[in-house]
Amino acid sequence: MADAIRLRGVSFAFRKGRRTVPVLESFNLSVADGEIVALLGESGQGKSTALSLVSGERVPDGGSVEVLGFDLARMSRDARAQFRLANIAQIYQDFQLLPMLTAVDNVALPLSLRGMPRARATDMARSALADVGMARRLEHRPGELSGGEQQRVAIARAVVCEPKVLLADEPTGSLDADRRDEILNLMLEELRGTTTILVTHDPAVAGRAHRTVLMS
Amino acid sequence: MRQLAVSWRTLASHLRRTELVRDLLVLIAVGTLAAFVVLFTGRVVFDNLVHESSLSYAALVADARPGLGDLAITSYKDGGVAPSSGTDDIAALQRTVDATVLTYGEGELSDAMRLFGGATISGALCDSGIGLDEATAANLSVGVGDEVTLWWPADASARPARVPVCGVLNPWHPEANLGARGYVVTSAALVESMAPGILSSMAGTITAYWFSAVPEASFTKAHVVESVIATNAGWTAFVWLVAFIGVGLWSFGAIRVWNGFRTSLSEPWRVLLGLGVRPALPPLFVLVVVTIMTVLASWASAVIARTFVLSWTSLYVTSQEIWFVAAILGLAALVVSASFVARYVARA
Repeated sequence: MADAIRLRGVSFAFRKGRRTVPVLESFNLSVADGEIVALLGESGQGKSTALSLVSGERVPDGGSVEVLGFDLARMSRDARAQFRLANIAQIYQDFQLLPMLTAVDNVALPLSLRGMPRARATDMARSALADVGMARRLEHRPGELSGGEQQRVAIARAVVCEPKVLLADEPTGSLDADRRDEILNLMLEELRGTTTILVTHDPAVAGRAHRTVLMS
Repeated sequence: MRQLAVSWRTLASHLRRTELVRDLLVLIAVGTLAAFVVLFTGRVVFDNLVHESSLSYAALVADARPGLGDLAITSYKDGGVAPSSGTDDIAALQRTVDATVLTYGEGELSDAMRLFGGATISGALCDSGIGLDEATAANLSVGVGDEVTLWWPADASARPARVPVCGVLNPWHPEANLGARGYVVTSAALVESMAPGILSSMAGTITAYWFSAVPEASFTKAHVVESVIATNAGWTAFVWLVAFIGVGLWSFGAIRVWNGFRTSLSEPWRVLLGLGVRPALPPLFVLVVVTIMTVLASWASAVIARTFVLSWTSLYVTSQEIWFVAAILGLAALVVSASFVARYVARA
């Protein structure tokens, strides 16, 4: 299978004034098309940073980041944003739902940003929320939902975009043990066949991936 | 465009009304202080510059002999303007505003109207009445069509006379004091008819104006404007220092508002960027919101400061000065906001 994601010799450091904190040095990662790869490691190992490089939100200090055949480091900031909107979905530990929007509006948002008419985007959002078992909570805001329900909405938001790449950063990190497996199963089922990088510090979660990359 | 509309609508839905009102009130409070400082320290220079630049002439020569130039204006500094009842009420004469009386010769009304046309706010000059500066007109609560008393306080033999106000002109304070002096533009014949021989008994300064060709060794309008600035050099340095402090306080207010919005919108801002919104759109939204707020606050601050100045001091503040102050505050806030946008876009 061809590689959908390829990081070669990637290095990245955070800069705060004169201080430089290296996070990634000569980091290599390949993810085949449709493969689920887990990045496993303790906090501070650069897992989330690697995700941000793949999403195009950051550019590496050195090396190359190729996603779906595009070298993101060579793209402009706006081009990377447009690429992310069209091809990549992200699921976060803190859900990152908009607090003043309802569940259906949160899910419809990326579709609207892509230019889809509002009515059609809303219909697709309703359908996606029904698929994740949230049909009765469409008009609720995130503050009115439990953690598990919020993550279901986040999964629906990712699913509705039909992404080519899914980036999941500790998607079950904020959930209790009962909900963890439930949400993980839902996410992997709904996004089956999507090229996925799953960041986690939990070996049990990493075990659900096709392959685990240990970051140290 | 669609992405801009959707992202901005999303950010707008996360604005808190109480925060908007609170920040607007804070801006108005700080802005009023800044506006008052700018008004109080800069208005004389501003008024002089506005007046001089609004006169229509090519060149002038001061202390010229009669007959030179397209128009000769003779200036007498010992005039006085009082309420219309001053012709038979001594108490009214106690409200006299010392005035510089500028006279033009017979048959020169059209040239005088040409010279002062740009400085005329309402009405027009006429041979049977006077043009009066806006500050004195406001002081005496008169307008075009009303009457005032024109007299010569230094000459007991000259009787006060009632004259109609034909036009109101922007204020000019040739003595660079704080607005307690007015000025009158009228025909020499009218003054002589009210008080025969009065003009020949006083020392007047003749200034000649040319409308077209500029004679050698004369002052152009640019020279006069430079002279106004140079004359107020002491004031100017003081003006800049105090105004800088006032505008600096205002800028801190704008920075505070910007940072407040950046904090309260941080969550939707982050989510939108993660979804793939163009990085410049969220900071541009904040720029628009802050700009609208600062424009509103600038205007409100200038009006409140003007009201305060008019109510608590003897100074008169023109509407042009409100625009001047509001423009300074608005520009300062725009510079602050734009620098924040540039910084965020560069970091993104």
